[in-house]
Amino acid sequence: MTSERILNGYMWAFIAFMFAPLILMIVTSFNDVSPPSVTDWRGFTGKWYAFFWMSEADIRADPVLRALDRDRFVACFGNSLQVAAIVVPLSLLLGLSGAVLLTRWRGRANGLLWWVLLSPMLAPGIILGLSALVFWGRLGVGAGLFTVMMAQVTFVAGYPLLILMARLQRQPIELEEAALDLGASPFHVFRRITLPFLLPALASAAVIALLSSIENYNTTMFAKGGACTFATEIGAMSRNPNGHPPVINAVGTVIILITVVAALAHAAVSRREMR
Amino acid sequence: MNGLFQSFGKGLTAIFFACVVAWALVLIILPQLAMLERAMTKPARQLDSSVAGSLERDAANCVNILGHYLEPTEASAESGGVAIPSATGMAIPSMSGMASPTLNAGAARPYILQCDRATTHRKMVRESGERAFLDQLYDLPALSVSADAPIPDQIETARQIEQIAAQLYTTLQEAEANASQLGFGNFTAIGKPVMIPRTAEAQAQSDAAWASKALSLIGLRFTKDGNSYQRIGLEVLARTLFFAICATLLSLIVCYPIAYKVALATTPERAVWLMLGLIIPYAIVELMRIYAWTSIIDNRGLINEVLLWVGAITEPIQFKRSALTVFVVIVYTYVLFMVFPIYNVMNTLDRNQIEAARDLGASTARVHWRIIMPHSKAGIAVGCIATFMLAAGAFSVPRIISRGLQSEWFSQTIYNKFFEAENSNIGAAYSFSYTLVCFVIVAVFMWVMRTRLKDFARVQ
Repeated sequence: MTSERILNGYMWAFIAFMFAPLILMIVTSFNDVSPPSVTDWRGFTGKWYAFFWMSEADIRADPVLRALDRDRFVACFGNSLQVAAIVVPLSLLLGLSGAVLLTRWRGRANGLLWWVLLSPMLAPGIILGLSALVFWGRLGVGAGLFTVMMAQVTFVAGYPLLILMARLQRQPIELEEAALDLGASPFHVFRRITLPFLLPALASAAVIALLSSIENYNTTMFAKGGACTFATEIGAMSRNPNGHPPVINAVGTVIILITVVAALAHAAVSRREMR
Repeated sequence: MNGLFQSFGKGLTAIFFACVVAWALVLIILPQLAMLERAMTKPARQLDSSVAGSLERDAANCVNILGHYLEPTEASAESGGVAIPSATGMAIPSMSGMASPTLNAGAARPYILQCDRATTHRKMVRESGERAFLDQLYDLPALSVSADAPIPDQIETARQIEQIAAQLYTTLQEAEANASQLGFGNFTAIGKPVMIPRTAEAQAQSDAAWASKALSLIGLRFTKDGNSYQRIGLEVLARTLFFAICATLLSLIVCYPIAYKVALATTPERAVWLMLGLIIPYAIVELMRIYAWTSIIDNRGLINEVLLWVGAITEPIQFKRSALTVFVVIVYTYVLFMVFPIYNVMNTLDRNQIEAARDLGASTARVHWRIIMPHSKAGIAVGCIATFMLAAGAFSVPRIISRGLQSEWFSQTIYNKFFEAENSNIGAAYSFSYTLVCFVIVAVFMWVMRTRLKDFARVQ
């Protein structure tokens, strides 16, 4: 069947389109030239990776690497972890509350609540960052990691909300009712029945919240003030008229590898569960 | 409500409500209101009180500086030669060099900026074209420090001005604190036309471009008295929305067959692998996927080197300067946000329906049009909204790809207006209007597609 072959070819072309830049990124991260290039091959090198552990003297000896500030880079990554450490639990809590109310509460304001809680996911990210900056600035809190956290929670909480809601809608309500009939306190029921039921969804929501917090650039950029995070620091390196250092490609390659391994592991686990 | 109490108890229900209220108010609604307030606030430097305040400071400084010229000989004797060289050294060149007509040879002092500005006939900050002066506006005596008068008299006048200004400053500040400073002035800045100085040739060249024709058609570019004007703010907005809508349409066309293939046209075992091929690029940090493009589109990047090698071009093409490149990378970055919603909905379609339609003699096109598309409408709508919002709010792509070499995306305009322009309140106005515009577009789209917000939960 020709139509099937066309569709197959199209599918592979699309996947090639998605992967080609990533493969180029991996290749350039081993090329001894800055800015990164695939066409200008100057020999295999691992120094863009070694940047993160080589000695100060070696860094100073290299014409490209000596312009980079490793300590700042590491500190910014630390900031990102710090932000995520607040954003992830907070957005899980808000997402869970929102999911419970949206699925179980049949109040009059339910429709309005839908709009309000989902609106951050519909708004351009930059606006969330800017409005957090303005709002907390008015309350006397200067721009910094705190405003970044608040701005990120605003929309990151939407992911747990949607994921938990999907799971809550499938919850067998009979279990809960049976436990209540048998005299369990509502809190006990929540802790022993609802939470365990939600646990897988909570775990995947946490992973997604963590990733979107660390990789977020648009919102963070507007709320960060003088602070920096992993994403903004990487973004800042593009403002170099000579092109960005290949260190970014090395970081990118590591991220790509981690993602591929994680995705394969996930696929393997879910296949085993399917059998 | 009772149901909630029953299944969760009072304590937990209260916690849930508190969290949701905090989320909605502190994180969503109040920040937008703060933004609206900021957008409607006139910048402080335009207030009349700030003009009076700066007059007061100028007069005070003038008094201070004049004090040095009051008794030059005495001062020199006291300070032991440090003050004298500076006083004379500064005075003499400026006397001869500036040679302003009011400064005759007998003037007791050189030109002093602060004294020159210490006049109650001071221009107010108003919209361009409107002229107002402090003394006329608030009925003050017209006082100014004349350089010809004896210095003690000058000091006396400056003192008077300082007092008057200080008084006016306090009264004006009180009045302004009570009066509302809100207005729509910042919003009108978006549509303000800016004159573009151009030669006739450049003008003709720019007029010939189809984009320019389209923009003049909707009134964003016009010519008046031989000068050409552009409403730059609205122009950037229009261009961004146009590109965002194009990116959404292109993504939809690209993604529909992909979603169909993975969801319906392959065996479940193979679908797992195809899904992996989609999930991996989706999960990789957005910035990295954008950076991956730089080695392709650089002046010495893959495309240019290949074209040079083939001999198709002699000079590298400046891809970074083209808005089209930003468009392509935006599509690359956000296209997968279209695939997954459509896939999730299509996946729930019973394949037997398709079989039945085929058996009854429906053509492929008809099967898509009558069965698959209606079924996956919610997914298509959600995918379109997600892609549109990401493309319209894209900030990282133009920032990294273009390195500031080409015309702006609206998100960049907001950034520049807020952080780099003299009046950040205009940035707030831009941002708030953009939110409104985007929400209106989404609302209209949802109404047309008959989508409800609840579909968002269904397709994720």
